[in-house]
Amino acid sequence: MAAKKKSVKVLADPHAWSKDALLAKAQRFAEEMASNTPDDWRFMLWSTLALELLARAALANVSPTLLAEKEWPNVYYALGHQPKTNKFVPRSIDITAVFTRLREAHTGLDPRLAGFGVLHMHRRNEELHSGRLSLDNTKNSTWLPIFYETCEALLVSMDETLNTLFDDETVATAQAMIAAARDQSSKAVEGTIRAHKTVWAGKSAPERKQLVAQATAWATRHIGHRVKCPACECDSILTGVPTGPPNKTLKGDEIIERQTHVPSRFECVACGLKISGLPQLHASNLGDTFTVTYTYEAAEYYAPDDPWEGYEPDNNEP
Amino acid sequence: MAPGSTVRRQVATRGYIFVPRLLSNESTISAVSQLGTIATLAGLDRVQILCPRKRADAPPNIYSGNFGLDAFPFHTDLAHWSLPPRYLALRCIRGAAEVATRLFDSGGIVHAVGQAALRRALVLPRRPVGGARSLLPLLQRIEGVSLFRWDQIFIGPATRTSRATCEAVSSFLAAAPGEHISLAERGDTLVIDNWRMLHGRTGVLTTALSRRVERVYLVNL
Repeated sequence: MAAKKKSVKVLADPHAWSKDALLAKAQRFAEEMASNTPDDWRFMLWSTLALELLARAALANVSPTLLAEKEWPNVYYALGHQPKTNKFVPRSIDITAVFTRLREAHTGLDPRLAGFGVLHMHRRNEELHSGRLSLDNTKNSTWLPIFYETCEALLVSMDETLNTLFDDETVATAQAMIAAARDQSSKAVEGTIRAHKTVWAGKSAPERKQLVAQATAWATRHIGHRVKCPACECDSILTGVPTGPPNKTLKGDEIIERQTHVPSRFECVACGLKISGLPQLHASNLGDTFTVTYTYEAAEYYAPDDPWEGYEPDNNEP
Repeated sequence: MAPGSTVRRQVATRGYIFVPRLLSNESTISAVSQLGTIATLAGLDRVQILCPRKRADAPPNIYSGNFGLDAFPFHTDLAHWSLPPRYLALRCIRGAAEVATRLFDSGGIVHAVGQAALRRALVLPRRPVGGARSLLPLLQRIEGVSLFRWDQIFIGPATRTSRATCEAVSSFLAAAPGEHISLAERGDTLVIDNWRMLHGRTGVLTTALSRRVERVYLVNL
């Protein structure tokens, strides 16, 4: 018997609750998110919008009817029909219900990730519905690894990967963050911090005062991101590796270059604590990505390098 | 006439098949129905007649209104639709050997520009479709099959990075030679996988203004 020919429907316009339409919009929001640095509140705001659309796409991938509010015209609409009800406006379920359904619908979204999704939406709602600046002071190490992990789980449920939302550099950073957050062996660093804390507490007050002054001066002079040491709370330095090319903006005659870094090494000269590796830094609450900003005069930026800068122009003997 | 299994196999392998003088005394509906199921699409005739027109004589919503008798650039049909038709058939009614249909496999674009970048590249139709404008990816997967869409008139980039990707595709296609196939004899039929292959027409000289081709879309082969 001949195999039945497979046909794919031809559609002029996509259904507003279709997986493809929702996923495309999540891609658009993810691009806006990535155009900001992770320590900018706008990065987190766009992340909440991208996650909502991604979650709805994942549920629509099971069936768009799961997005419909309980009244039957909404279900009818989700099935691709237009109800005859006067002034009908389709109503979809709220985002908390979306995550509940995703958790229970074999999409691979475990309760931990679904719980994060709901929490992230609450943060967004607080930002949008109150005067509180909820997103301004949230350390990105507390939410970004699990955000990427949740995105990945939702994408995999649709046979997609993180590359559907983010470029190669961001995906590499995201996977390093997810691995770091999962790495239980890194918890050993907590013991090292405790040991340094004990030694620090045993120092005399004048000695501590001198070390604090030295640490502040050292942290000011050295290149890196200044943070507080988790053992002695002195100024200390975090260095890292860039996650991609710098983002340049022109402001007046100045060029401002911002580049996101993932931390890779921590050092405190006051108590001598040193930590290397993203998993260990993440376990020490030092895993936040940070932005390095350089400001150049436009003329300086575009001027070619001159190894003999400061001398008169070259001349074959005056 | 090529049997159905040969047509399916060759289109799956090369992205198109050329069938010379396919049932040349029969209508296009009758002849092409031997190869697959003809689609009925809202707002479009089942059989559309394509003939060369000067730019001034054609409306701006069709390629002749934009390119006239010049070459039509590589494109996929109905790229501004959410789900464009899978296959199209072009069947010669009155031939012109000096006019060719150019074909180019999107696999070359995917290789050059990158699958991930193309999947993230979003475009918007230049006009509302069905009363709305929706974001559409340049490359997507539909039930395990890749769908590549491209049109330099009817769709445009929707985001900053999409613009860069579209420019990369345009640059690549500007230097793409493609294969040339002429529909010269009545009944000559070209069946194209519209999700995979880009096509375009070469320029038309005044000696070929009588060229007539009929086009139908197919939902399967």
